[in-house]
Amino acid sequence: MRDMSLSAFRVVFNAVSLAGLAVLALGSPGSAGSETLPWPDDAVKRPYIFTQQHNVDGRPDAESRIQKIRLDWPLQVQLPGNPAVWTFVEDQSVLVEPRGRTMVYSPNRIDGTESIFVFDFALAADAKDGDAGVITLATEELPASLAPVMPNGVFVVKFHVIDPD
Amino acid sequence: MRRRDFLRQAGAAVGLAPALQALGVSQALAQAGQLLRDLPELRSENGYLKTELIIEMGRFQVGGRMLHLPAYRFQHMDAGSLPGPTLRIKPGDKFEWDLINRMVPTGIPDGATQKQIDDLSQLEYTNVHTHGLQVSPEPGGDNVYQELKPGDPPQPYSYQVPGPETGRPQPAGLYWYHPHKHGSTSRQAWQGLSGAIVVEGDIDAVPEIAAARERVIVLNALLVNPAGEVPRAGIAPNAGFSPFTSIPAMPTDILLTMNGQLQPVVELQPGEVQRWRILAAAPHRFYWLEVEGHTLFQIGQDGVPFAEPRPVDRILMAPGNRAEFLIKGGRAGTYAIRAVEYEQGHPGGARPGWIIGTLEVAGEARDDALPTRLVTPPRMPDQPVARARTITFKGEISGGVPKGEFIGATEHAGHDDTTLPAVQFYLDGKVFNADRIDQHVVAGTVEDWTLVNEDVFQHPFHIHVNPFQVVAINGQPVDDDTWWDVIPLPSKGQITVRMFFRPDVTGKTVYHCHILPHEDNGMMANLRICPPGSDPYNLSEEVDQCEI
Repeated sequence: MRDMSLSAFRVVFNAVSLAGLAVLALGSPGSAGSETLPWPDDAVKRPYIFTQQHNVDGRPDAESRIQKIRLDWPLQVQLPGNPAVWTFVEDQSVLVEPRGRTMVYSPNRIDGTESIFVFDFALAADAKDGDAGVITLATEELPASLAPVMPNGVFVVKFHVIDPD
Repeated sequence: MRRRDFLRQAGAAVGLAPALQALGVSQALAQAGQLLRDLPELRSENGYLKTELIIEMGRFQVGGRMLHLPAYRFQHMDAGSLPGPTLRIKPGDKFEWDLINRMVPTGIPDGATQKQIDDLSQLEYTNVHTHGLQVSPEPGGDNVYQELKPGDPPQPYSYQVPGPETGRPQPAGLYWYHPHKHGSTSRQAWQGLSGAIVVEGDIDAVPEIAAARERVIVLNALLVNPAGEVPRAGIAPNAGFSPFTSIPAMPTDILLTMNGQLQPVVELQPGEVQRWRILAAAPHRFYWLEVEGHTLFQIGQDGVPFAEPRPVDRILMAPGNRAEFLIKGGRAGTYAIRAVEYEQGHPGGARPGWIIGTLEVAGEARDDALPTRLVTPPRMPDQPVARARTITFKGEISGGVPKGEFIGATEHAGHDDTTLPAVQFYLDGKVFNADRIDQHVVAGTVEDWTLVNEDVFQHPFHIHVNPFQVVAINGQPVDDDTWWDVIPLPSKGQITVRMFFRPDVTGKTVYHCHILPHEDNGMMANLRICPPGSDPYNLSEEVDQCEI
């Protein structure tokens, strides 16, 4: 399942990523809605945490769900698993470096899963304001409960780096 | 209340205010390790109180951080308080307030479009619920169906607190007020919008209690991003100390505060007895509360006093619970006030233990007396059970189920039918619908409700207006005369509660899970309390009336 879904995903992703860059270059209509507030220099750098609800693979609204990530802040993905085993798909990921993986016991919260897989990432050392990035994880086995939200056994989050400073 | 009384109650916090005004701090709050402050108070006089309950934005220093949050203040106050000021009333009082909403959008995700901002505008809509007060839920009373947008004209609320003439006066104890706008409740609780209501009465005349120094302590959990604002976004549960992430994601911290302070110090002399009234106002976290090295002599639960003190080492407080106890200072020293690690069913396992404050026992030794008897608590009427019902609790956090028929947080997020809600929570398989009457009951009757929990989450059941007693746990009878208005359900288990619907209060109201993100995402239902003598039992849920 993984090979087929990743192939399909690759085609979709390429199209989507180009569209995403175009939105960036042209500016998105109405994007002037929010101002970017400064965060304190001495703030403890908690991660941006992504769960299965953040997945954009296969979503019709994927383009409106591209994240903004501030430069130098850590990232984390948490996905329900066991027996599903999630792995980082490096060749489908951009601008991130894996920093570790762990598994947290979390039985009976979601049907067909016993644990939460936790992946830590850092932005690539050369990441800069305006860069586009992607995190991709995949599993060979997917419980039925997660099929609607990650239909291909693939988790994807896409982001743009911002540097308000 | 006279102004100097208010200033005395506000204590050191007001004293610090001038120096911090330059920083834009609307209410000076402590760094970690400062003395626990007393909250501002307002007291009824001659059976009546009227004020404005104003929500406006402020900047609050909590620990080393500056937070930007909406906060309650009463009309006579110069600035908002985190948490809100305390109201003191008596059984038989009438009190009124006009709710004023001056919230502004905060916590907006980076890059949000104006449409995305507008789609979430209901997160600033509000109303106010007087949790535990046995007052009318009709419009203009404790009506949680009302909503108030920022900038709307003031919204009046009026409450007649049951007095002795009713035969069932409001028990003397700790109650509270907080927003209850469906879909916005949890976010506003994470902003700290909450305040204590103290009903004074018979238990306050017990000599040992009357002599004790009293502390009203509000426990909040503030879910804030690095800018010190609560994310204005959908949320999803995650593992880790901060239990929720936002959609879009932003880094968050959870700050567990006592009276808006991070890890404050509470002073007590050796042998001194103090009365602590604790309110668990956090929307999600259970507090398994202990004070290291000290027995807690519990004197009341959810506002209803006991017949005699009950010595315990720990008290479990689900969101919305109140516990009142006496504490007698031990040997001089420093003791942790802890929220002990507790498995409440959240993803990722037990919520971690945390020191929320410190007890500092010091000074001249004394030997204050503890009471052996308190008051006569209200009794369950000796009448047959008119009806037995079963209510089933079930949640869904996979993010993979279609949107149900409900008005909830994901409605606010502007999702269309092609997307899936992040989470959904159901009562009897249904998400909340304000236009449905899920249960018709009759005032003046006794009912047994069996609350079946199909989840590992320990959903805390709460019903408005009338408290209840537990008569069975997992089918096994229990003999316990404690009155509750919030009770956590056992994981994958059930509780049977017995309720008396007081005969003088009718109207439409709600019951729900008091984990507020569960309530906001569907786990709430409507209750029509019909007048005594009516026969609504065969009416369908579409019928909002009391007779066929």
